[in-house]
Amino acid sequence: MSGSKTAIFGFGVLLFFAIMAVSVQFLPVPNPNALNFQAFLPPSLAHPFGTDYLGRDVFSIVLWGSRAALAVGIISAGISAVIGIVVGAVAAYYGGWVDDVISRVVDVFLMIPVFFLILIVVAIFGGNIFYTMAIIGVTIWPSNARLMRAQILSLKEMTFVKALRSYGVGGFSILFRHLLPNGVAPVITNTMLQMGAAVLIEAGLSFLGLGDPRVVDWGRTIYLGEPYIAIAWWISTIPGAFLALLVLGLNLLGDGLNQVFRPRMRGSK
Amino acid sequence: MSQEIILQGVILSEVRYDISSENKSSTSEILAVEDLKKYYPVRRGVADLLRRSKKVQVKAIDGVSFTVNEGRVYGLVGESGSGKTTTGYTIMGLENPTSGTISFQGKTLSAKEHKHAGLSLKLRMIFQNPYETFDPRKTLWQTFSEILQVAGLGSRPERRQMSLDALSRAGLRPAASYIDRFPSELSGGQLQRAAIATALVVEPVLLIADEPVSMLDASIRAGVMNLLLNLNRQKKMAILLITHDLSVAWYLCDYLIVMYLGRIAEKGPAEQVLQNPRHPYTAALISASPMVDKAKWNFVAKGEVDSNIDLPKGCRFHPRCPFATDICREQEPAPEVAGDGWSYWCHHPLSVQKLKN
Repeated sequence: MSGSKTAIFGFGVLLFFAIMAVSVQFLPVPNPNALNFQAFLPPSLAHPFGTDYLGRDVFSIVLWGSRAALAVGIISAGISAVIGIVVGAVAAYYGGWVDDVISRVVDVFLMIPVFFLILIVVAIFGGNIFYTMAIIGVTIWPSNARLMRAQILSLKEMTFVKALRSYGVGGFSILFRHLLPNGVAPVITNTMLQMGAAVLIEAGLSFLGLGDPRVVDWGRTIYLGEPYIAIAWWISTIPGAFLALLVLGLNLLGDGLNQVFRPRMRGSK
Repeated sequence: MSQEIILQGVILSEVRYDISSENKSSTSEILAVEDLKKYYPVRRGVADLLRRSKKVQVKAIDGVSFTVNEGRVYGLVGESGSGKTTTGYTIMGLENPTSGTISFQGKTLSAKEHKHAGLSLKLRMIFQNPYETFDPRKTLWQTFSEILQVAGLGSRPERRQMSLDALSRAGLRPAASYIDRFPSELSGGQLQRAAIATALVVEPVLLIADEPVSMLDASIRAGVMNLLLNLNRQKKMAILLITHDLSVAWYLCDYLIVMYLGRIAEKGPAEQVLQNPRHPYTAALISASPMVDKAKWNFVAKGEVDSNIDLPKGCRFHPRCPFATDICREQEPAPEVAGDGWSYWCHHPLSVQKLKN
């Protein structure tokens, strides 16, 4: 598949989940938290994805769960992108001790096994979904910072930076209005991949029982359905398949964008 | 020298602006560079620090002085590593000098003044690589608009008109069909003309041109060189041309400044220096040029340019010079005057010897 086709497929998947998340409240589905006495019902017309051990409608859980998944992906990866871009750009452009300090901080972050750090923090502060988003965001930014730093390091040696300085354009403006737009493409690509990673991390936390109990969440549904996998396969498997589809879509979007952006960077040389 | 010059296959007719026909002393000094030095520290490893080895520096420019007069074209020539581009960057304020002073229109420039936009109205630079001179994501209009905005010139429609004028004066006509294009949509020659237009738009007093034609095809070199000459003549814009190519320098320049390893070897009026060089290095550069009569100019400098880190003692050129004697190996030559505004730094100038190898 060529880069643009991969990206379009990935974007299609993302759009599918986005429409799901936005429109779910208008759809004629039962409340995902409503209990009834018909637990472990296999998929049928009334319950397309069956019911779980408390008789909740799995189809409804899947639809409502897309909100939490997308919110985690977008907010965590967004935090990571903003921190990574600013920190990486400042380190590369100003260089010297600023770069040394930032690079060592990045190294420390890269040394820590992120998932376990998040696990400890969530275990201490409790499974609030906003904490989870924030902690994922502030632990995964170093890869963005490294990408941005490498981009700015090579771009700042280009002649057009000298030309801009010779026109009297200030350093802040050169960095944020000229270098950043020229170098941000790989960071956008990486952010798409990080959205997928963030969704998976959050689902992993929920699967370990550290999710936010107030939020309808695929990971927690998988976790709660796991003991019954032999008698009611649909409780864990169907939310798991949707989780996999979303992460796959985000990864394809990231990979596709990577291939789409690359020729332009060659053209600018 | 012949009236026609063959430049990489392109014949340029003799259209040079002959300074001898005008009153030479009629123009005033606009730029004075005094004992300019630029040293770069060499990054050392932990082992060097432990061994307490001496601090190592690259002496890119090591005591260069010259002046530039209004409306004249100066050629800063030399091989790679001679410090000519660094000199241009330092005058432009893109590098901070290690020591020495740069005065522009009678005012000594500090690092602060270099960052001031007002200076950029009068002092402009164009760069060697036209493909990298423009931000690839901005159209020419966005670049021009930013230049004028930083300089505080004009309202938006006025800026547009000024940009169009500059582009068409630089030979991109009709300017309206070029101004909204991205740099990737222009050829090298068109980009270099656009780069010259970025300078023209503010009508500078001095244009520093760093190898303006070296990246261009032979067929478009002549056009860009003639454009520079016309600007010099019509707008009385002084040009400091940085080049390694003596045929380009001969075509454009009124004065030459020959640099070798961060020092000036010889400087003076272009015609005289090129016809009767005093410094063996100047003669070697002329001999290396493809345009010259090989029977007369067969002077070859031995070996390669020495490192800027371990500079030769005495005259810097002595390891490559066929006339080198003991004094050259021991003592740095003092400046000698060969004529009006013409000086050289050599113990054994060529006037007293035959040009032979």
